[in-house]
Amino acid sequence: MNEVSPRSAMQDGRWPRGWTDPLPRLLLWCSASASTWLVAGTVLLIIAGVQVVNPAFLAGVSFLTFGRLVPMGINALVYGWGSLVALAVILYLLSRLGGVTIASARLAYCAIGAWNLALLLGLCAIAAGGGNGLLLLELPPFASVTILLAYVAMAIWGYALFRGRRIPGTFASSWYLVAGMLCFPWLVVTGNVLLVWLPIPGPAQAPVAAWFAGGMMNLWLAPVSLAVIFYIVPQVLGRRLAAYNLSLLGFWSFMLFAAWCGLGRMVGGPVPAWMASVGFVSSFLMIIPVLIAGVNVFGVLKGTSEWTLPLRHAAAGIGAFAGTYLLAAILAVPPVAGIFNFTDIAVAVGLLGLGGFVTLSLGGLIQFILPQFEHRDPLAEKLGSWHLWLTVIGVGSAAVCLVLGGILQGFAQSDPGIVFSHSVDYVMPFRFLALLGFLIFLAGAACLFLRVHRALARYLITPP
Amino acid sequence: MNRTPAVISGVVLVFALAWLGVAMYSYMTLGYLAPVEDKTSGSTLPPALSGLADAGQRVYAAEGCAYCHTQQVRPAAISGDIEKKLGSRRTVARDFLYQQPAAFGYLRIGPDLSNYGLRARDEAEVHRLLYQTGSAMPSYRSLYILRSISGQQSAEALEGLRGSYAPPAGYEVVPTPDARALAAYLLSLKRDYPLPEAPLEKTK
Ligand code: HEC
Repeated sequence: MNEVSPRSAMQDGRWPRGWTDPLPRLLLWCSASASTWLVAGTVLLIIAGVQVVNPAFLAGVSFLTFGRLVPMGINALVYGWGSLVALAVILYLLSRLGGVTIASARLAYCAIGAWNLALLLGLCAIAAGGGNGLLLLELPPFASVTILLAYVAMAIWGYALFRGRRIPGTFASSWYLVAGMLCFPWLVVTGNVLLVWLPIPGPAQAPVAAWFAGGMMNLWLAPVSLAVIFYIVPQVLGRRLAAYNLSLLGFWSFMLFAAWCGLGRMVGGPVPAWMASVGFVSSFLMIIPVLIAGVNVFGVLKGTSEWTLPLRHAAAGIGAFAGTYLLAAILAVPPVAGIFNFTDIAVAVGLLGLGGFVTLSLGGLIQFILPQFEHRDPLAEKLGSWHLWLTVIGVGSAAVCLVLGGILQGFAQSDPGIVFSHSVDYVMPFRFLALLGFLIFLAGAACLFLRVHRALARYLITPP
Repeated sequence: MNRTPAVISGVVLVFALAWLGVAMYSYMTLGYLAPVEDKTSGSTLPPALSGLADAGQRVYAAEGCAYCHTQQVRPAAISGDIEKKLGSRRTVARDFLYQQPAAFGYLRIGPDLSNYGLRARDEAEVHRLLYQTGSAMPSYRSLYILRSISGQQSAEALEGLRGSYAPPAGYEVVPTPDARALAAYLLSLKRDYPLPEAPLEKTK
């Protein structure tokens, strides 16, 4: 296995003459629906956030109460935004890295359509009171089954692309893609069978649920996002990542710890002591792959002057990656977890991960392929860079506010001398400011939505 | 050259290990936990839920109360939960024996509810709490019915509602069956007995 610069894979005419490559278009369509979910999910979470600051907001509207909005919003972001883009990204990148493409994307389009419809109906079911309070398992069975089938329809092509690759060797990027592709169905089947379809007894549910919810991030969205970063950086710079062996170590350490670190949320909770310890240790050791990825990427980026938009996305994405897992590592240290595990700091971890790391990385690839549909459109470029900056500023400021508020909240809630309602009073100003950060993030999401839909409209009106 | 298997089999191995360790281990051990005998009362612990409370936990799940309320008291060694009188011992897996789904909770935007049944005065208080908004707790007005009083006021009508929540003259607010089930569930949350793996802890 030797590392070849993936840039060579970009030359035209890699596939048999007469084939047109359907994958950029597929990615465009996927981005269009996914960016819609990004906006929708963010709006739902912002409404929920307003309710925490002012509980009278929409009071009495049953389908718009906090406890239903939150699962709707998070599911929209994870299954609608992250996962849909991730699927298209897997096919697109495996094709670029392997120098092959697929003959027809008809099945994939059907799968995306079914996925979108199932998710929409599933969210309506949650709004109607069909949720179960288990994070990312709230979708009703018909929706999760449809999503799984749609996944299989796409993954078959992914596997074919990987098996049939014509560029020798594999790239760091493709390891992560294959890993995400393998983990997603396994996780979704396990989580749904054990907790929703044939639920196991209550005492066994907490560890499985925490591991599943963590896994959707750590073993599915995170690997695909890292794959995007490890693709974009060498691609844009025409330089390979630093040492190959270092990348290998980074990959395996990431997978090893990511497989367990969902348990880090259960430190001190109703799980066997060894599980809490493993959760803490693996969350903490995630620092190793974070450092390796940082060295690897910034080693290449250092001194570069080619700061294109996708490259900025990759750099910001790797920063958010580090922020997410460092904060999660601190939060899993037992005495820290004892005070802060259930505070707004945990929200900040989720926001940095999903809104920062995943959104910036996947958004980077979307912005990487969009120009080919746009014929040099200056407004599109502006929307693109607004998306980047508003996302960075929004996520950054909201995360800072949530962490500061969470620190006060944690201390106040562990102090026997402070009644609960006072702890709420302390965090309220921080929650209010964090909400402003979420609004900035929403504006950024709207820019991406506009850019993608303008490109789609232009493509539909005048196909290249 | 197709060195596919190295990545694929490695990832499968890493994942399978965690899958066996978390999912299968939990199922095979925690999944078979049984109630323990209580020598003083002759019954078993944790106490089974009443039919109404069992229905109530489904309302609790559907309304997503677990996104704001935990049901996890952590040991005194790492947290102030016990000192704070959230409970007299840590919460353990067996506490969820009759819970379906287990509402262990994610955040403490609201207070921990592991032992709410010990704090609550009566059912009327629970209904008032759910009907009106709190400092950060939304109103669950949709679990109640505002109706005109025909003849005598209903015995289960909510009393003492404040401000704009008070019904106009001639009207009353009564709980739906869902609200009554939810209240029964909340009042059943009492973990004041020791379990073999979790003796009562002393506060400092
Ligand atoms: C947005 C977050 C939020 C949601 C959702 C929420 N609560 Fe609350 N809850 C709170 C807060 C904050 C308090 C603290 C008292 C207050 O603000 O009124 C509270 C207080 C309570 C209390 C009183 C606790 C005590 O120790 O006195 C109970 C009982 C309760 N909630 C039950 C529920 C139930 C049942 C649901 C679901 C139907 C629910 N809560 C949903 C935030 C929430």
